[in-house]
Amino acid sequence: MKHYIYLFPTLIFMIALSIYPLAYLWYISFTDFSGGSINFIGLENYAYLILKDPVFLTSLQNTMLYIALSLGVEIPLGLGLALLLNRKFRGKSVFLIIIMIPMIIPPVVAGLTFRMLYDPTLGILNYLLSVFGLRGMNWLSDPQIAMLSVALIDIWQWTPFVTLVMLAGLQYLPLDVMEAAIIDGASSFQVLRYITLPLLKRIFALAILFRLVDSIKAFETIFLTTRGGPGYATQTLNIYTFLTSFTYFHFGVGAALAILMVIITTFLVLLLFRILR
Amino acid sequence: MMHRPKSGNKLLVDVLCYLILIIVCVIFLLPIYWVVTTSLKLPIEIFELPPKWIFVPTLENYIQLLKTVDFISCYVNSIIVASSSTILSLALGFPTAYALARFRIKRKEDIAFWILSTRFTPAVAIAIPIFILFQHLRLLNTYPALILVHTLMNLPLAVWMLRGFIESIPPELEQAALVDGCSESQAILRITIPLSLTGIIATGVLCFIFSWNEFLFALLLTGVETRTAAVMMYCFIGFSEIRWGQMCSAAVLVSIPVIIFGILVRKYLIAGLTFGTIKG
Repeated sequence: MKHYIYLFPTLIFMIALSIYPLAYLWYISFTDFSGGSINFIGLENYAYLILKDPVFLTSLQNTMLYIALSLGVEIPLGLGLALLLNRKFRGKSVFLIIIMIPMIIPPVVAGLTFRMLYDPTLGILNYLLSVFGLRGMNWLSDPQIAMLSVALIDIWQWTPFVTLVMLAGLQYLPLDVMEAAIIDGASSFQVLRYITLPLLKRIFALAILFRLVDSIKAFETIFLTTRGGPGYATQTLNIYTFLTSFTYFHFGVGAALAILMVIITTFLVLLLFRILR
Repeated sequence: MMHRPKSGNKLLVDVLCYLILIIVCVIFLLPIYWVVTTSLKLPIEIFELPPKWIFVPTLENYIQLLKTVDFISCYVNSIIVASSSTILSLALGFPTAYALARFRIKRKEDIAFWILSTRFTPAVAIAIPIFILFQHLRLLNTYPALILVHTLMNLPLAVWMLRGFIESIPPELEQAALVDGCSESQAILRITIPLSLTGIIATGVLCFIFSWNEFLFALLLTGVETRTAAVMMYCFIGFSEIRWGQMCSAAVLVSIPVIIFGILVRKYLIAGLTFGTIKG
């Protein structure tokens, strides 16, 4: 019993600021609370979102598109960079520090920086395109490419994370096994395919799940550039939940959205824990 | 790592690798380079196309930014919130980490994983009830509001990272101190804490970085007096015309501390971002 005293401060703190608020969120999701009086309306918010609200479906699709675009580049590019960096060479630590910067700077700075780069009048990106004789684009205001533009910010920020996680995994690979394989006549591609990648499976799964959970929650990349627009082109579930709650103050609907997000992430996290244990 | 049969081949591979890495670095650095140079240009030069690659740097934007007192007070607010929540996270997290590392506790792993699970809860799901509750408690636009939430955010990190550091210290050292007549708390104070000091500091620095960078809660829970630097950056968008030069100089000043801290704790950065589940 005495040992539990050590745990109490953290547990009490987390019950007060995490469990209790989540229970309260659960309760609000069954009400029509929007700042004034609270009336219990049962499952109406959920029924509205799933059956009637076209924006909910759009947001769900946009979330999946955002994940597909950002992870689709981050994972292979991150792995490729890790394989390149997993050798001894001069200037390696300089490279490691440089690629660390995008993920260490405040996400607000990253978001605003890209907003500036994407700007059609003073943005450098359109200028660089014109140098190569290409037409400039409305990066953030063209609904066709806005999602790609915000995903690009995510890619810039978080590819280094994948690289460094993979690099950590590569360090624990058994070198002697690989050398033996090469002596026995395996090509370096075969070593990669049959030894390196299978051994990296666990860390691979971890990197994907961390990125997956975090990109569901992606906020600054979208909120600071497009706020979900133009129209609903970049509105993900997270942005929809935020705007519903804190711009329109429909806390009831917002809470129902948030509960749905919690359910989705919990499912993914249970998967993560199964890998970790 | 990979053996190449011919040395000429190896040289080619090396050059190719360097080339790819340099291109990648240029791409990663270009946005940052652009922010830094824009912050050093005169307002008229900022809009010039083709952009001026060579120009006389000026501190005009920085001077204008610092003249608006707002920036310094926001910066101070960030320091207050980040350091308070860091200290609170370490103070709450260390005993828990110690218990998880050393004691036999029923369902210990379940408790540890429950603590970790809050790392994955969408921030907005906590933000809605916290916003409503804090409004009732009249805690909006106060320091404690943001400090408490940032502590909640950093506590799992503190527990999981410190647990790893404590586990790496042989328990025999504490047992020897107990045999010599120390009490349990004395043994922790004199043996465990000094031996895990590097880990404690690294964890603290990571907590500070994450609090400094946090935006969503800071946006919702602070007001004019308690606004953090991250929220102040956001306010540049609110103006009818964005003052890019000043915004860039603010971006540089807000980023410098976390870049320095990040480089100092770079060995622990991946562990920090994955809450100790992956050792960098």
